[in-house]
Amino acid sequence: MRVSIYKKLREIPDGYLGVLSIIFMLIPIIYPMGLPLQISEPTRGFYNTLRNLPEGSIVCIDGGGGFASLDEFESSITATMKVMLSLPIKWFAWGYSADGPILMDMVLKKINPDSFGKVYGEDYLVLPYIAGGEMAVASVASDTHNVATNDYYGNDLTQYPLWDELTGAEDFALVITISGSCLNMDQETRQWYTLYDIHLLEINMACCSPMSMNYFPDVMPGGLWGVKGGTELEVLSGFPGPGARLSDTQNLALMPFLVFLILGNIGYFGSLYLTKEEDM
Amino acid sequence: MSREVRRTIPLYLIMGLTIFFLIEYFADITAITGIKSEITVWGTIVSGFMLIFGAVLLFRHHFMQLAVRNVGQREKILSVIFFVSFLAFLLIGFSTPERTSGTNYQWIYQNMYRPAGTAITALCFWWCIYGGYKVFTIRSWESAAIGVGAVIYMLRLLPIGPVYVPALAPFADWLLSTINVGATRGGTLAIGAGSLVLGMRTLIGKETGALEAVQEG
Repeated sequence: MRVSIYKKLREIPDGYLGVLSIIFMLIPIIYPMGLPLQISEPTRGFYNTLRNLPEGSIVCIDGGGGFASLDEFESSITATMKVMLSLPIKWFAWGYSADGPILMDMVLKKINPDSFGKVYGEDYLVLPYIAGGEMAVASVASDTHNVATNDYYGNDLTQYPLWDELTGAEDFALVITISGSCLNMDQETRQWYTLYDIHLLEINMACCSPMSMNYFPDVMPGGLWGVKGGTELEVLSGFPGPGARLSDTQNLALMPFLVFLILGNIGYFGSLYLTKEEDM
Repeated sequence: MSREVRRTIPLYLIMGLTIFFLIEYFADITAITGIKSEITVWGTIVSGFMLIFGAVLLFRHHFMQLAVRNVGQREKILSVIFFVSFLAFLLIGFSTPERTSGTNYQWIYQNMYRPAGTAITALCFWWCIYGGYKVFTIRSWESAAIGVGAVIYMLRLLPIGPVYVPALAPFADWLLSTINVGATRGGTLAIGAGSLVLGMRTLIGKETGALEAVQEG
């Protein structure tokens, strides 16, 4: 009795799946592909919203996310920081997750805000992690001065001129939310848009875009999801970053998933409808 | 303290706070808004203490694993790993005045914590590939809709997709912004309705789900 091709397609050993996936991921690292990108509407909205902020506007950054998924949104955060530092606006970030402020600090050290002519405490501030999840968002929105006394670096906040300008949601022109949760936009909308009519921009993982699209473009005029979002902003803003290289890797890393999904289904349908009984 | 008292006091606290927050939302009274802000800030302070409480519980659990409980060699090794990594992060964090913004702490974050986290994420990705191959077979119209939608959207996510099939980008964007939004908004509405029911039950003191876990069986 011979085994049908369809049955074989259903039973590819796990090792082959792993080896093929790794090969696909290695190809763009050895041979960068540099494929052209089509800028999506949420990225365009993200960029335009930042560009259209009036001079002196204050942006609040709810800095969440974690290091485990940093590869997904490092390019987005880096490109966003560069765009914001190049504009005549002010911003502050606070830690929505424990990793948030550390991540923000690392990105800032890499891009060096001084080179953009920005001064810490006058143009931007980094606050520490504030525990409480959605409750922390509500606290920052209702009474910013009450949530922290020192910045992330342990310095007294009262010495910074920007701190005097941050009393609550009424002072903020926009909120940028960074998260690794697909329910992020639900709670951010509840605390910022519903209560204070403040629009949001989101930076999140690629898999969360279907949930976040609920809020585009009325509540959230733009969003960057996954490496693709970051790479698009790099292209749109003219600030190159790590996105292009990661984008190539993602290109081929997702390929095995698609290939095996299709192969598995060909095998399933083939063994169901096209296989003779003696071949089973 | 009896179980009844342990249940009743938190229940009335939740009821009272819910009513207070509702009044604050609908009535624009400055004094009430001030109290609400203060209570919210208390919440973040309590959450901060909960982190310490969580760390103490974690310590207690692993100490019991090592010193008291009769567990296997593997569990004991895992507890030792916990103690070593926990104390290493703590000591390195406190070893410099810069704390978590210091070079040492960020070095272990960047070179140990990040690769470990990325490896776990990559492992999850591998299981996605494996699951997609082994389990995701199109057996009904519903699974066909999910499967075809997923393939189209993934091809859209890859820059390579729209480069070779230009029509893919607008079609996938339409799927995401129209079909997907319709479906997920339905889910969001259902969650909203559920939350409303939960809120009503809390208001009349019927919702005890947040207070105690009931062991079944």
